[in-house]
Amino acid sequence: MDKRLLDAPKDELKDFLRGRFQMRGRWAADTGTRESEFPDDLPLELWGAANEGLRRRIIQATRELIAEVPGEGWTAEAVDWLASFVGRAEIFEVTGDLQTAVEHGVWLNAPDDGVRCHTAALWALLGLGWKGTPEFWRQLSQPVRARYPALALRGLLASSSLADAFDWLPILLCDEAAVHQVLDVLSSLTRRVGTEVVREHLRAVRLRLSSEVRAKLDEWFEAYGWGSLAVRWEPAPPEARAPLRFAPALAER
Amino acid sequence: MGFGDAIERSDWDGARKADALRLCGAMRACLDRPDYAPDPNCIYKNLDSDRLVPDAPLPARPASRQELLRTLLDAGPPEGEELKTEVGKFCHSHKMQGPEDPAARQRVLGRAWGFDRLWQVYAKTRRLDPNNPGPLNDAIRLLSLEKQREHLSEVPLAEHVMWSFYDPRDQANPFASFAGGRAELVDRLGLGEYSSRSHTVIKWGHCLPESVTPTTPTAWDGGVNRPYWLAGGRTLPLSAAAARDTTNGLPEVVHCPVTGSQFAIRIAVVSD
Repeated sequence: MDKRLLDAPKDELKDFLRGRFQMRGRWAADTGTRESEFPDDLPLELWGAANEGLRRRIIQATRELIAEVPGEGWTAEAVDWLASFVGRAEIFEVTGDLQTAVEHGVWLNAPDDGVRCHTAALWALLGLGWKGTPEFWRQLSQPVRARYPALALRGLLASSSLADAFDWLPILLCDEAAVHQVLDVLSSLTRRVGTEVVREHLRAVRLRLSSEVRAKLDEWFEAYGWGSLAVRWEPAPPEARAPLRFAPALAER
Repeated sequence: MGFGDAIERSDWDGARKADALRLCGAMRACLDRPDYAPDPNCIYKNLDSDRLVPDAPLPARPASRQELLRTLLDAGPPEGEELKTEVGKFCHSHKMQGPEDPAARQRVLGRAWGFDRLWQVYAKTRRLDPNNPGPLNDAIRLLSLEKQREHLSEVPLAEHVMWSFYDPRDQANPFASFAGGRAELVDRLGLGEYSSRSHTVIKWGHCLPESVTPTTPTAWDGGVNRPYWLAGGRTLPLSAAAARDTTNGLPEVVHCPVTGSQFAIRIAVVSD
């Protein structure tokens, strides 16, 4: 890391962060591509080494960069790295800025893949512990939830009960591709609440899924070794069965 | 061949040639990596000695040394960190210009990468919690090759240019000649950044689609940050780095990133 950055004023830090996230100019030139150095690796290293004063300057620089989106050079890829940095560094001070951007749909109007930019902000917000409300996540526009169903489910899980979040699953699982994204969230969930609980919640909504999605979910649930989702019907033992009763009118005949 | 010849063969006047020679000295100093014991000057040497990089511009060949020198001279030339930055920028804008390696097209290519690196790309692609890599752990541990291929079909397997290797004697298995575990893999592939055991290393095999062209890496691909690499198209084993001996290395190519849909050998964690 260039030691000069430790004393850099806010505007130079802004140049540095912008250069890294947009991967252009002098600040991106020494990115180690064979080692797959990520654009936010060096900013994170700087954040980790920063004293209080430097952190304040980085926070201010980051807030100003958030306000720059969507502007020149802020491709969806660059916005992703800005969001990644905010989430990985846990810069809680920018929560309000991101929230404003989301609520006004500012990033959604970005010329380069607005949906991706908008979800980058939501992704960072969830990383910062912001939960939103169940209504907020349910009202995500169809293009957003269709492309990033895992994000919508994560938001619902953060802001509502398990049962309420799963109740929305048939809306999110609109096609087979969505199953893959949702499986990743289920994978995390099985670790948190156990496979049995996840299975029971899925069974509760399973019949509301389209037959293709249901088959896909069944197949993959088993592929992960989490057991079967299908409920096999078995007749109850004779002693447990209620005696047959005819309606009175029929019995009289 | 080399910066000396590039300057000698140029049509520059005496003063510019003298400036260019001074620039080479400055470049050598600013690219120095004193922390890399086998050869602190390896990055400059790669730029100076790569046979795939011509001294003067040639059609359909990688950018030349003269072009680098001209760019730097016209820019000032810069000094110290600024000079390193400018060399780095030049390298970045001339990646994947080496000759196509047709053999790599016929083979299953191998790649070893940090688990956390793939997880970050994965989490970013799907908007998952970056601090909880459970989903990738499960995909690696629990899914078959076919299922991994399908589940990761939209996940890029590299962030920038992708570096892969192959075994010239085994078309289907790039890892065929590896007898040991993590230490051997890290050594033979020259993965100095994973020497520390704090990183979990994963490996897999993939094929290239028609649209992706594998090329032999040049010094421009190596860039200004890369000490564990030697120009010439083979990986440089860490244990042989001091002797610059790639005999135990494997042929290496660079190409545009592919996704998990190209898996030919399932991802696995490299154990000790």
